[in-house]
Amino acid sequence: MNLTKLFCGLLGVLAGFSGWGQNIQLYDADYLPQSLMMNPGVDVDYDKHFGIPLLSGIHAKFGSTELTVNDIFRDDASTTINDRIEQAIFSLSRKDYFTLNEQLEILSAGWRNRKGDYLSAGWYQETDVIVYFPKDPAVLAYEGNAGNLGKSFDLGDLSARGEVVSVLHFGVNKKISRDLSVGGRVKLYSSMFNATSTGNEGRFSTTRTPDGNNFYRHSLRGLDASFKMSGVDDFRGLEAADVISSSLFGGNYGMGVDVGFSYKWDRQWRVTASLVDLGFIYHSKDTREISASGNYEFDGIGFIYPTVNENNDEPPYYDQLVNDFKANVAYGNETGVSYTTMRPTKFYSSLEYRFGEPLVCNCLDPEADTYRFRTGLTLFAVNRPRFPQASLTGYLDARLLNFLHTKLTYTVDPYTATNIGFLVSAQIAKFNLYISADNVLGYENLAKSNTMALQLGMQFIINSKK
Amino acid sequence: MPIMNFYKTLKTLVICSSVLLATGCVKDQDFDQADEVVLTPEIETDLVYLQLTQDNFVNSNGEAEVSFVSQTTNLNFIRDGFIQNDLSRIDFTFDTANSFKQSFNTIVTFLDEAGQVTYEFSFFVPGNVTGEAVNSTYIESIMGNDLQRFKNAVSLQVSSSIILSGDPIMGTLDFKSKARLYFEFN
Repeated sequence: MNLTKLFCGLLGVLAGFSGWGQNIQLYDADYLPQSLMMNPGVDVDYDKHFGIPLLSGIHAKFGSTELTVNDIFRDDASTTINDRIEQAIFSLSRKDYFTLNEQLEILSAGWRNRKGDYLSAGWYQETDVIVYFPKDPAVLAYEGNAGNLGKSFDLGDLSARGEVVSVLHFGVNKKISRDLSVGGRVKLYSSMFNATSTGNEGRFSTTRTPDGNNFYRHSLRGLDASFKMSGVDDFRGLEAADVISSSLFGGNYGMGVDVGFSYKWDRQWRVTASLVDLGFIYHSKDTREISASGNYEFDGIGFIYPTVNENNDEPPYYDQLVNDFKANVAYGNETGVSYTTMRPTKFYSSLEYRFGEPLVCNCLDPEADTYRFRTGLTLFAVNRPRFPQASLTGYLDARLLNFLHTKLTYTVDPYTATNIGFLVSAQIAKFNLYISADNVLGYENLAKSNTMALQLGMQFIINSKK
Repeated sequence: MPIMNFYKTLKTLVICSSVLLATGCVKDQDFDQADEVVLTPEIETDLVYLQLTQDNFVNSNGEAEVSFVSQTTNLNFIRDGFIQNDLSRIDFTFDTANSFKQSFNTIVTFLDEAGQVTYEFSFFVPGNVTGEAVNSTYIESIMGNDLQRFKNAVSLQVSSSIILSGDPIMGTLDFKSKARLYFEFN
């Protein structure tokens, strides 16, 4: 792959990956088992569920804080693609990022035990990628240093992480009282692939030196950069058996927990919160680390001409230069290293108000009344290598028909100011089918959309009380 | 009832959203433009520097013994793929500050692995009878067929010959050089 394709790949293909493990619309959608994966302490009403293998939860989310595919590839004769790339490079900042999240539920089931606790377990696969826009290295690669004399390029702008993990989980949801439900989930992670390059440091500059030996001083200062990877290093030619084997027995394992609660303030007000993926993965198998560290300054090769009285041999200038660089900038390419990565921990919290006509009027137990409408706010944050990403979602959830739940959301997030999403969940007897999407206005032309999220699935949900 | 109106509106919105979702697509994009992408960074780098004094030319009796000096260095990076494939032009700039009363002829020679000249140029470094340093600049641009010849090089030789004038040989010649490399990555 040449540099141009790499550049296009960065700007175009990655133009817009963002997200987290489940659509935000599913948080607090307690009529769906997937809400247990976002808050193990959600108020569970049903008694059993089991997902149709591989089809119970299919989630994909893409997004970009600034750039869209349209910004680069639009069919517009008044500008060239090179003009647009240049414009994009200078409009993006090191705070902009592209992320991708994909999640596939392989197995999912839950049941209520004799004590009334709701137990759930399953196996899912998740891909999570975040790439911060490497502003300074991109400018350096695009323009070179000639037009940027005196500028100090921050090589720490290079920050990216990607992983493919397989997760086995088991959770318990317990009603502590009529008003309070709590839950926890234990997760065993098996990393199929991980690539991490975060926390890099270093600066490069070219400065004029009117009184120096030469025109400039090229400085590489405080370089401390690394790229670590583990697991499958080539996905081409992988057989299905290899995928299953590496997903469960890849050799790079970790543990994590989810915790959460749901509290009924009164008949109409509820508050919930959860922490998801509080965990780590220890990588020690099929690992590689490429690293570089040190300081170096260069102002050219200093020729030393022999004097008449001391006719020295000509030194090997270039070899001396290379050796001097190697002595000052350590470079490593090692296999068999071990390292630990933290999972991107998510925080959810919501405040909900229920209103409208009671769907079930329980005269003996008015507290058990359910309402047709729910509205509230959901706060979401996810821990990322550089700083947390956060969003705030306002929603209206309505049970339009006995078998049909719908939810409309408006989200304020780093991607777009017009993020309207929805969830539709249809329960036909014990069979449940749901679909949710984020930023539906962007579907008119996905190339212009900064973000897109889609989740759908089908499963059986059994409520013995109905 | 307001609630029922609201209920209908909500239903309509959900249906519309579903239709949008089903008809979502990518419009008005031309991905073939990727073939037209050209990156053109310009890299500025120091090259060699040197200082000549009378000690390089005269013996302890002050007599001119040497009139020609030369040094050579490998520049193996010229054979790297990105130079061979993507370098479209190179400009060399030489700054000199000469306080000798004598002038110099400087020859810059690029040599291949067999020591054969692939590209060569020379320039004049003026002296000053007053002994004040004279600053001068020479720029050599290489492109086209000349650039192909340059790309066969693996080493650089910088030679200077002093033009004797009868004046005492005394002073310094400070010599700086840099290169601006123009790339075209397709």
